[in-house]
Amino acid sequence: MVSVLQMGAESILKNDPYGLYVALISVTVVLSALIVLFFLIWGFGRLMVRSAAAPRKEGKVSMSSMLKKEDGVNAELIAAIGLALKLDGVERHDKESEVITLNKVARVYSPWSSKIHGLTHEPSRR
Amino acid sequence: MFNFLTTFLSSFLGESVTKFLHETGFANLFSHEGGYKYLVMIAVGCFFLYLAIKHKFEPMLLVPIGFGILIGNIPMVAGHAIGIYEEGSVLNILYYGVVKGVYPPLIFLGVGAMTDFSSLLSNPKLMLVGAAAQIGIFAAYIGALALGFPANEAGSIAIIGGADGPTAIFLTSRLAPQFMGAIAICAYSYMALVPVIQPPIMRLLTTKKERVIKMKPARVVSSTEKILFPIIAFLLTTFIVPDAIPLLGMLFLGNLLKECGVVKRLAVTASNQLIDIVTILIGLTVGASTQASVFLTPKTLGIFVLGALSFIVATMGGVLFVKFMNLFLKEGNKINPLIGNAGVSAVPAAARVSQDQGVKYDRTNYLLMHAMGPNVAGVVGSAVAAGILLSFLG
Repeated sequence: MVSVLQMGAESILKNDPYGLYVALISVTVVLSALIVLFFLIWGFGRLMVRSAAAPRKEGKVSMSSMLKKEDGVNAELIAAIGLALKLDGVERHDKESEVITLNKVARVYSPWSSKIHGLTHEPSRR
Repeated sequence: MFNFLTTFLSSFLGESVTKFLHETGFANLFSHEGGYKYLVMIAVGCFFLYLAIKHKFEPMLLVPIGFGILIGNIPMVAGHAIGIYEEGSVLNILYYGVVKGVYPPLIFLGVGAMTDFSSLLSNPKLMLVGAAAQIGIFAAYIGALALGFPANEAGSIAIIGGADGPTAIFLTSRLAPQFMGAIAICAYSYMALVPVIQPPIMRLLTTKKERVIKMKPARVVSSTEKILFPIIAFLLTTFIVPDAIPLLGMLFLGNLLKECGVVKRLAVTASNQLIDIVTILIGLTVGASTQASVFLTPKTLGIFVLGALSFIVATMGGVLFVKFMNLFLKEGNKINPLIGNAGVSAVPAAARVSQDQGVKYDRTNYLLMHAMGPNVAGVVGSAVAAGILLSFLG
């Protein structure tokens, strides 16, 4: 009997002609790998959230924990602060620098205001 | 006149001209048995270019692949070291990266450097959706065996259901290199057709009420979590399936380059220039490998049918698994089943489909970021699945 570890594709096919065992084992392995990863991330995420919410030793308090203490997590307030900061950054260009950068005015040529068309070369006598 | 013609043809000049004329693509098209197949493949190449340029279906992939098909299907005389299957030709040397599975890990490096795992980290249960969608791979494996494909070829065909071109190429290079062109083209075609294939299945399996479920906004993920995730995920997944090291190693390395913040230049190179260069090479050579003589066979048709089956089952698996999860989740924590399709790893096309469908039923329901969770989990899941198939069938 050949060990499973030494089996190639052909011997796998002999022992599992419909592929059910391979499929079942593979699905189980994929699911279990990602489930273990899920628990790791989930546990780690909770740890991070808890540590972020905990007050700092030096007496400094994070914004999220402060909001939580006073009147629960106020998502709208956070959104408003975020929006205000964003607008401040985006609309900063509206403030004029107060430096005049206009050095020269170039008049566009137009035959309507052209001197050449306004004057005759030699005045005609009648 | 006739005498002049026979004299001319028997002269050196005449022989040279005749030899040249026999070597032209036109002559080979009509002199080869089944020469019409080249024209069929050229039409397929043009169709790919049309889809990419006119309809913008995955143009980054379909333009190089489509033009590669044109390059690979000019009928020519063998022995000039021109064709992709001729030892020492330029195309053959470039194709080496596909045959030996060099390009897919490099693509994964770039994908890792472009991927933001935040949505997955903020809602890790979406990881399970990515796992559930891999069921398409194993359904196709069983289907391929039932159609009489040998086990190694069945494994290569099955991975199409992962909707991940580089993974399909990597596994095929190990298990069934003779089907490289067919499997790669099939995988990339179905990836490009995600917006066409998935929506009807999503609508079929969900109710109107389910489609308008609004999911809780994702929490902010700290940079520490983002840095530790690729390291932990790599160690865990590859300890379980070491055969997936080339893919997962590069994926998580790319992500670490992005998230650690101290090697910005490397991250930018991996996510821009490197992945662009490799995408051109992989697309071109995969396209050129579809020479009509080796591509247009009844088995190719079987591969396309099984690939479609695999893709459909994967989409159904993701959507149905979300509905199953919702049975156990409290009101307010429920998941919109329209993100279940994103469990296949076509990033970000599948997530965009979720977004489009979500907005269709509720204009204020933005599912994109939520769908990115199962989408990136699908990338990890399909690489793990490829590793398992490799360990069984390799």
